[in-house]
Parts: sequence; structure tokens; C-alpha cells
Amino acid sequence: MAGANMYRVGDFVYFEESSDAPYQIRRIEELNKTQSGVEARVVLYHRRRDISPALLKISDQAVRRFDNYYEVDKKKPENFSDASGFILSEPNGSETKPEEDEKEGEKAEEATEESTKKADWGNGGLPLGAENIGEEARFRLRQHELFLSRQVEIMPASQIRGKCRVMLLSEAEDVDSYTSDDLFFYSLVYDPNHMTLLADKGAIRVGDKFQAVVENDDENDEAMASQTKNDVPEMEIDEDEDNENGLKIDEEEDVKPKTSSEKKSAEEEEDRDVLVFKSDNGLTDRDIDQFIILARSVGVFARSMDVSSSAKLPSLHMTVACASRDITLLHAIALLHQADYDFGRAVKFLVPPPNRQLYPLDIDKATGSRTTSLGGPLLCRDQMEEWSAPEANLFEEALDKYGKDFNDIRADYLPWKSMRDIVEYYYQYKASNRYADHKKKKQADADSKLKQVYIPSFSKPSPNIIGQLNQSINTVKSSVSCENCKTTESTNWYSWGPSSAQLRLCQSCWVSWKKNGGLQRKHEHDLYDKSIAKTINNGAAASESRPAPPLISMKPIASNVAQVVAQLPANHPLVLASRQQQAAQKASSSFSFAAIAGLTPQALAKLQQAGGRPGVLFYTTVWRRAIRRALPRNVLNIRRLSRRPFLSIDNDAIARATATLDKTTLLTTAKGLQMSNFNDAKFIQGLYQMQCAFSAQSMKRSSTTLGAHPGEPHSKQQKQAGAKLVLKTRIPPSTFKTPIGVSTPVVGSLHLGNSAAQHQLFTNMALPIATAAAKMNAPQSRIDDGVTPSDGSLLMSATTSQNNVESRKIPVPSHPPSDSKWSYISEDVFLYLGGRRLK
Amino acid sequence: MQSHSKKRVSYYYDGDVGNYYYGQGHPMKPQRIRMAHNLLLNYGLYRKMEVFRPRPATFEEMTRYHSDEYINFLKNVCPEKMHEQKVPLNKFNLGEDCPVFDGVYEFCQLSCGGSLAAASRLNRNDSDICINWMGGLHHAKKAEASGFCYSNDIVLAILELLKIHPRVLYIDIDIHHGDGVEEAFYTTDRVMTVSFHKYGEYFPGTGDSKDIGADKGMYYALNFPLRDGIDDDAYEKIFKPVISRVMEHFRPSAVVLQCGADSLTGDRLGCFNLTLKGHGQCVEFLKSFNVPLMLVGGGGYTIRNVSRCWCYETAVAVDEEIPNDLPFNDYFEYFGPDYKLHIMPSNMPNMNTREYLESTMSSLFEYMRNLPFAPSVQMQPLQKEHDVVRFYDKSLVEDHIDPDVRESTSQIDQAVEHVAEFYDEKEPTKRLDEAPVKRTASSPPLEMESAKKTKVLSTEEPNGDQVVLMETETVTRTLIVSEPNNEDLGGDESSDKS
Repeated sequence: MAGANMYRVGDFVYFEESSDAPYQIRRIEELNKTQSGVEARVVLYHRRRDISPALLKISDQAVRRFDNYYEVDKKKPENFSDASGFILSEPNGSETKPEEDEKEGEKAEEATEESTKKADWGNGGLPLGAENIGEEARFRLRQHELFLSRQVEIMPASQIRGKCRVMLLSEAEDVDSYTSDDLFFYSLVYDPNHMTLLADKGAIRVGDKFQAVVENDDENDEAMASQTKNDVPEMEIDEDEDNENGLKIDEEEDVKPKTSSEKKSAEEEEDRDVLVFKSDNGLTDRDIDQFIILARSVGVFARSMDVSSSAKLPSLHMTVACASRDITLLHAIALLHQADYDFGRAVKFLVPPPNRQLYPLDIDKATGSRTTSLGGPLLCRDQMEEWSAPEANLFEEALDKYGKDFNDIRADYLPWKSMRDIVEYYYQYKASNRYADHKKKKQADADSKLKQVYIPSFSKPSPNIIGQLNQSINTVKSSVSCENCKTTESTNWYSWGPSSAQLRLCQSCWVSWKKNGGLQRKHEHDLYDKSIAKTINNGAAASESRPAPPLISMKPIASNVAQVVAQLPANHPLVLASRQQQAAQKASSSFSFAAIAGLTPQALAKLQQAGGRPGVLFYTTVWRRAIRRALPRNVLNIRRLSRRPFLSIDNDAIARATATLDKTTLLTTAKGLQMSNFNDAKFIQGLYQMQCAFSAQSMKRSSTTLGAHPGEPHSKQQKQAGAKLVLKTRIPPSTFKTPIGVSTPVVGSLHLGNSAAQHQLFTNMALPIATAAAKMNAPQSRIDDGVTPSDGSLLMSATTSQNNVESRKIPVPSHPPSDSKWSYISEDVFLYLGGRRLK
Repeated sequence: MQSHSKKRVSYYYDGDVGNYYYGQGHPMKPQRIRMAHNLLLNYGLYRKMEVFRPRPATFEEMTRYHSDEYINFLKNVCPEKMHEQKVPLNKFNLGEDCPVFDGVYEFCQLSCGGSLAAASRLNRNDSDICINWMGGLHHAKKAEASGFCYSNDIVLAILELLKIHPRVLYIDIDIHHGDGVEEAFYTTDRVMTVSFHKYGEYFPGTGDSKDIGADKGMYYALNFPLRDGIDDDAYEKIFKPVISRVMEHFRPSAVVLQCGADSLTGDRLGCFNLTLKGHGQCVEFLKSFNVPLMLVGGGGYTIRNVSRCWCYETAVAVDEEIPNDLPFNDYFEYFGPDYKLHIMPSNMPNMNTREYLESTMSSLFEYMRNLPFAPSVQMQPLQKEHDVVRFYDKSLVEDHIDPDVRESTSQIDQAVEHVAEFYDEKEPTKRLDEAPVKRTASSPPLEMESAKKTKVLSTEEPNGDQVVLMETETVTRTLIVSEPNNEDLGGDESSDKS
């Protein structure tokens, strides 16, 4: 069956990362085609063996049959305790005795020891009826228990070793439903960062803030009556406010007598709807069809008379198609209703005389469309027709550039259209031929994401196999019996356990060990692969073939979802260890970040030539951020500029403005950057130096302007630079990006090193500042490869910057800058403003 | 009591609703409602029902449930200034899933207005089934947006229904748990909420089967957690028994069915495997109880299937067989490559074993056993107040509209003058120079001394209101035509005018 080897997004699969360890269980989130093969983005499911026994002990003992499924507003359950976590259980649950909480820390070690003897500590997390099954069966059941994590990793799809099923534990099902092979269940979410197990449950909240006010049925009438009484004074007050001319008393007397029935009716507001069409109208279906045909014919006539339409519609055929659009139908139906379903009158409405006074046609208002009376046939057109060809082209262009961000499209391309017009047009456009043609062009881009992937069954022998792989059905006798089932005959034998012990497993037990992560019974070497891994790590970390895949944490599905079921005390050694680990991770990532940020342009260029992936580096230096903040809007408006990529930046003005900035502005800027731990002195020093550089620059520039023929000598250089630029931008935009706001893209390798001294100055200054900045930002930094679709803003910024890069390809070679100011760009300015100068 | 066996169906739609846009890449697309509308228009279903355009809900109507502070914020929030008010945005959970988009308040007004209008129509017994695909935003909380929902039109509609109906049943077949509605009525025994949804590592995280309500509302919330890939057959096997049991025990006098279409196969966010038939079966089944029924929309993120589904369910409501070939319409290309109405289930495995479904169902039955058997509900006589309709001169509003701004259809709507004013000779000429009269022209005005004595009482107004009594099919309605400058108008009404 081909289906067995076909893996789709959403499937649960076994992954084999190490031949010694059992398979890992993952769910495929995404399949991406890369150069090296197919990569799968997978969600981690942890086995029990991957989780600290101390934590398991708490969760096993917790009674997870929640009696109260809702949260009462502002009231914490009584048995809430910080130390050992928050175990939702019956109030008399003996598990959460305070004494035990205190001892929890010590007990952790005990628990580790215990874990080698006992299967588990309670029935928590097991299906219904688990208390009645034997110890061994329960042990095996526990092997099928998983813990979901909200973490994602990227793994090569070639490591997939088969499919399995993972289900959410249902409290309505009993043990039998969970005993089949390849079926796992989970009920809790494991958070390795905080060492907690969470119940993946949201809660309905109870309280005045959440419920609707519903009167009681039996008291209904009374309540209503009293309500109306209560309402009367309120109403009076309202009216007092409305009429401030002293006529209150009379009005009050007027109001009171008619109270309930009158007032209620105003309240009820029965004019909630307007009839648009009624079914028992005396017309037959055929009448209506005929009228619609008439309306279409009139539409064709109207289009032929209308100059703007007839110019657009070359053939009669197309005119008919336009006249048959839904708008005509809607319009015809509205006309019928207006004519009170009098066929004759409705036909007259189709061809009104030019003077609208004579025919009170409010049809356009009813349908929301605009009609034109041409002194004969009535013309009504939808957005698809309304838009002229240039408008349509403009829209297409805008769509390519901005994607479907209609707000931006409207602001920059079609300000005379309303948002509604644009949305309406877009959806009609999508159903048109125009779109189909357009789409074909873009088809090629979308291919890298796969829906499913075929992975042939894995047939290579495991390195743990003893002797040759035996593919026949003949069994081989072994001197040592299988550690699990004690058989001495099997097709193949696999070494298992620490190498010193010389244990082996038969074929079937090996498979079940790989899948279930344990043997039939508790065994002292159950976790042997972990100790092996540890020794390898300690011994020769460098020899590790594959670095641990980057873990990306996902955000929880809903903010109110988490209910902590088990949590280790804050002073628990394991918690401390995990914190240390995190800190170390942060430090190392910031280190690598700093290293990249600190690279000189030349080094970056080398890196690229060596075939490294980054072609374009998006990063915002402290300088650039400072410039943005310090400069007044009228000189440098990043938002405006980012919308208008074809607009050149007035670098003179920027340089001038920067040179003239006073120190107080600089200081406030520095503070505004919200870098509390930033060395102020260093920053100011950097800015000051920059200022000097700028002023020197502008001085030099003014002299050259006078001396040289404007534009001439520099444009060549510019041209070369442009050519070089194009070359670089063809490399796919890198996925590397700092998280600092909207980063202006910088082509990393580009450097017009014509002034060695200045360059020196720049690098000297940039290095410490950039390093510091990178360090500060590193904790938030992430590899942008996995931008989740839900993360709209990020995605958007990523695509816009990509668009910027692409759009730059065109203007540079075809239009060498004739503008003289291009020739004066110093590398400093250029490096601040990133790729902007390419335009 | 009905003259014909077919249900009287009212359908609520505003042509503007499709033009709201949540933002780039956002899965929620109000456009789907317009696509559903165009489909049923071209199928001719339009002719089988009364079509209404709702008046946008007012601030006062929305704050019957929502907090003033929250609605005020929605009303005044401006997408351009979003970054300047970061703190309050988080406070109301606006931002990621629930972006502040252009016209968000109007959008809420439309969806709430539709459901409220539908509820009052059911209250007046003018219709048997009311449909509002613009509504169904079941995640919104009292003072918080959630899961693409800003205002909870369902809660508002149920509150409206409770004015007449002693007990209202809410059923949710969206793939997501209907947590907003459940929360709103968690402690009352007058509203029972039943939700069938995917549970486990799925938005919004609530909806465990053990979740049954609190205080007085204990046992008045039912949740059926489901796993991936449930198909039509399995769904039917749980939906029908559960709902019939609920109908027996709770005996609601009105039902609100949330028809979120993200439980269909191939949904962008969903993971069930239902087709239109399985989904529509729920509507069909509820129709058979002959209880006033309100259908609202909800989720649904593969818009071609959403519009298919809601069009089909409209057809189910009006008892009309529609062909499988889709009629040509503006959005025809969306339905390629097959251009058929019905969709095929995918081959995804159904993770809901029979045992799982049965054991969950029996545990739900166990809870229902605790419900007191509700006494059978008598059809209540209509309250007379509901028959009184008031109209005011809205011309002042129109005069002050900015001519450069495109009017919303509802504004436009208010401006519509009835043609009969100019053309109907039978109309007494005297009325022409007075405020416009809104009424169905087919029914001639009756004499004042007609049988409805109670209503004549309300005509004895000191300020010279004119009263027209009209006979419609089932309900006698009084129209009070007010002079534009009557001084006894309610405070909010007069502010409305100026």
C-alpha cells in the first residue's frame, strides 16, 4: 500500500535520531523542500523516560478528574500552593499535604531511585479502569503515555521510520481503547523551561464580568415589571439632559401615563429590518426569469450607449457577459420589489427618463451600487467593470508589491478608491481571467512547501545488529537469550544495553523497544541510551555529528489555557539546572550573534564567496537606530520611505542634520533606545565620532561639488557599484534578521572602500557598539526560517523587505543615477541607510 | 397553525458585509458571505424566502451583553493609530487573531443587527426559520475579542429570544468550541448550550465533556469533544441521538444553530471530514422539530466550501432541491475545477473510534439525566407591545451625510422612500405631505374600529399620532406614524435624528 509510506502534514511519525535510542515521536507540521532533501518541521512529544521522575511522581499522584471545570472570577482554589504546584484535585486529596511539599526537594533523589523499581506512582494520566489492571500491563500502558511539548524542531525527513497514532486521553474511554500497538496517548503538556506539566485546558470563567444577565423565567414577568419601573426615572434623566430649556415638568407628566407599553416598544425596536424581497409576490418563477432577461438586455443596450463602457468592451460577446453579471440580477430584483412586483412598472423602471424627479428610483440606494440613467436604459456596473484598465494595472502592480495589504495599496496606489471598492474589486478580480494569467506567472514560487512526501521503507540494517542482516525467514540461534522474551531463536539479533553487559534482543523485541521505549518489564538498563549519550557528550563533544536541532517554542493556543498540574519547587535542583542551561544557551547565541554582527564587510564578503548562505544581511546598527530617532521627521521619515522604494533619500539633508544635532538630542535619543544596561558614555562617544565623520564628510563634499563637474566622474563608479549590487541581490535574501523593528536591508558585502581612513574609523566604532547591541538583542533573536504563518506582522515585514530587495534589481542598471547627489554618498551614510542608495 | 407545510423563511443579508477585510493573510474572510449570497441568488432561492436587510445594531443593543467599555473601544478604535494604544489593545485581546481593521465596528453592527432582527422576527412569530450568515461569531466574550470574533451576535440574539421564550437551545456545529456563548449562559438554566467540536491542542482549549455548567446552569452546558477526521456517518450517529435527547429533556421553545463551516472537509483551519450533506443534515434534523429556528454562520476558512455549504443549507431551510451543477455567478471561478455544489470527503482517517463516540455519548446522556424534565411549553400569546412599530422622519440624518463618503447600504436603506407614495392613487392624498409611511402596500389599511380593541388604546395619544392598523397573514400590527418633531420621543431616538 502506497499510503503507508506517504507522509502528510499532520501525521504522527517515528523519528530515528540515534540507533541506540528508541524512536522519537513527532508530529509533522510542515514539509519543506531544501537543497539537501526534505526537512520536516515537527512538534515534539516526550516519552515518560524523557521527563524527570520527580515531576512524573507529582503528576501521577495528582487526581486529574477535575470537578470544577470553570474558574470563578478572582478566587483561587483553596489548594493552590506555590511550592509543589497547583494540583487540581478533590479537597481531601491526600497527595497535596503541606508536609510533603516541603520535603519535595529531598524526595527528588529518592524518586529517581524509586523510578528504577516502580512503574509509576498513581493513576494520574491513565485511562479509565487503569487501577484494575496488573502491574505489568500498567507498566506497558505507561510506555504509551506521552507528553506534548509546545516546541518545534526541524529534522530531515529521511529519519522518519514509520507512522503511529497519538490521541488525547479521553476520560470516557477505558484501558482497552489504548492498548493497541503504535497508539500513544497524552493528556498533559510538558514545559521543559519551567519544568512543569500543564493540563491543556481552557476554563470557562464565571463571574459578573463574563455572564450575560438573564432573568429567571418564573420571575420573568415580575422582573420585567420592576425593571420598567426602575427604568422610568432613568429615562427622565436622559430627557432632562436632552432638553435643557426648562420644560421638564410638563414632559414628565406627559411621559408617565404611557409608561410600559409605549416605552417597551421603543426599546424593542421593531424596525430592525427592511424588506428587500418577499416570496409571495404574485409573480411566477418564469415572470422573474423573464424580467431578469429583460434587465440584461437593457444592460447590453446601456453599455453600448455608454462611452466609457463601449470603449472597454470590444465585442458584443463581452458586453453581454458584463451585462449578465450578478449586479444586474441584484438590481433587477430590487427593481421588482420597488415596483411592488408589478411587472409593467418594473419594466418602466428599467428605462427611466433622464429626469430623476419623474421616476423616484432609489434602487441604487437599495442595492448599494451606482447606476447611471442615460436617458433611456439604466446602466449599473460593479467594481470589476467600473475600474479602468490603468487602474487595474496599477492594482496588479500594487498587489505584487504589497501583497494583499489593501490599506497600503490604497494609500500608495489608489487613494481615490475606497477600501470597500478595492476589496470588492479584489475578490471579483480573483475570479477573472486576468487573475488566472497573473497567477500562472507566480506559480513557480509556491513549490517549496510540500503537502506530502513519499519515504520508502527504511531497510538499512541498524548498526546495533549482530552479524549480518538476515533477510530470510530462517531463524538464527543465539547463545545468549533475548533479554526481553528469553527466546533463543530469531531472524536477527540486536545488541542492547551498555556494551559491557553484552545483552541482546530478538527481532520482535527490538522493534517494540524502539517503538515503545521500554521492554515488557522494568529493566535496570532501560535508560542505557541516555547514559551512553551523556558519556559521548562529556568525552568528545566536538565529534558530535549533528548539532542539536534548534528548538522553537510555540505560543500556547489560548492565553487562558494553561492549568499547571505538576510543578517542581523553585529550588529543586532540576529546575535550577534547566535555568542554567537556558542562560548558557542565551549566552552562546548572543555570542554567535555578536560574532556575526562584528564581522567586517570584507569578512562577510569572504564568507559569501565561500558559499555560505547569507547573501543579504538585515541588521540595524545602534548608529542607524540612533539616526532614526534623532533626526526630525521632515529629514528622515523611515515609514514614508519604506513605502516609496523608488524615492531617493536626500543624504545631504541627513548628513547636515546629523552634523548639526545638539548633544541633548543625542542624549535623549540614547535614552529613548531603552537600553538600560547600555554604557551611556560609549554610546555618546560613538555618536560624537559619527557626528565628526559626518561634518567632515559634508565639508569635503561641498568642496568637491565646487571643483568637479557634477555627476560625471562619480556616476561611473556608481554604475560599477550598481552592477555589483545586482549581482549580490540575486542571491536569495538571507533569512537572517535582527528583531529590531523594521530593519533596513543592507547588502553586507558592499563596501566602496575608497577611503581607508574613514573605513578604519567606522569599523573601530561600529564593532564595540554593534557587539553590545547584538548582545542586548540576542535573547529575542531567532532564526527567521520558521516564521509561523500566524505571526502576521513578522511575516509581513519579511516579505516587504524581500520585495524591497527585488524591486531594487530593476532600477539600478537601467537608470544610472543622473541625480548629482548620488555621487556624494559617503560610505558612512550609505551604511546607515542600507540599500536605500541603490535606487 | 400554518397554512402551508413549507416553513416561512427569512434571510438577512447586507450587501456591504463582503467588503470588510480582516487584513493580509488573515483566514477570516467576510467575502464568503457574499459568495454564499450570490450562489443562492443564482440558484433562485431568493424567491422562496423573505429577504431582509438588517438595521445595524446600536451601541445600546450591543451593550446588552458586552461591556460598555469594550464596545466603546471598538467604536472609537482606529486602525491607523493602533500602535499608539498598545495597552488597551491587549486588554481586549485585540491584535493578533482579532486585528483592528477598517470598519470593524460597522462589521459588528451588521452581524449583530442581523441576528437581533432575526430574533425579533422569530419572537413575533413572523417566520419559522431565520437565517443570518453574517452572524455566528461565537467566541466573542463579554469584554474581550477572541478567535476572529469581536461581538457575540448569538448571545444578543438569545437574550432577545428570551424576552418571549422561556427556554432557548443553542447548538454549535463549528469545529471550534462555542466558548463565548457557553460562557455567557454558563450559569443559567434558561439557555442550554450544546457544542460539537474538535478538542485537544486546539483553539480555544475549552469544551471538555466534563464541562457542564455552574450554579443554576449546572447540566445546561453540553460538550461533545471530537478528534480529527470525523465523517458524515459518524457525525450523524452522534448528532441525532444527542440532540433528540436534549430536545426531549430541555424542551426549548426556540433553537439557535450555529453552522460554522470549518467542520467541513478541507477547511484551511479545520480537521474534520464532513461534506455538505453531513453538515446540512444537522439543519434538516432541527427543522423537523417544528420549533422556531435561527441559523447563523460562524467559522469557515476555505471560502468556496463555506459559500457552498451555506447556500445548500439555505436550500434545506426553504425545502428546495437544488441541482449539483453550480449556476454561473460572479465568483464562479472560485469553484473550479469541478464547479459542483457538493464536495467529496477526503481519505483522511477518522480518529474517532466507534467506542470513543459511544462512551462519550453515554457520559453526556448521564449528565442529561440530571435535567429536570421541563414541562411542555405552551405557545405563548404574543405580547401586544411587539406589534407596535414606530417610524420617525429620518430625513434630517440624510441631509447631514457627508456627500463625499460612500453611504453604507443601511444608511441608504433608511433613505428609501416607498414608490407607492407617489403612485398609489388609493392612498389618501393628505398623507403624502406627512412623514413617509412604511408598510406593505398589498394590504389595505383597515378601519380603526377593527376588532383589536387593545391596540386602539395605544392610539389615544395626546400628541395626535396617527394610527394605521393592518392585517397581515398571522399577526396584526399597528403602525404609529409619528410627526418628526414629537416631543415625547425616547432620548436615544431624538439623538439619533440630530
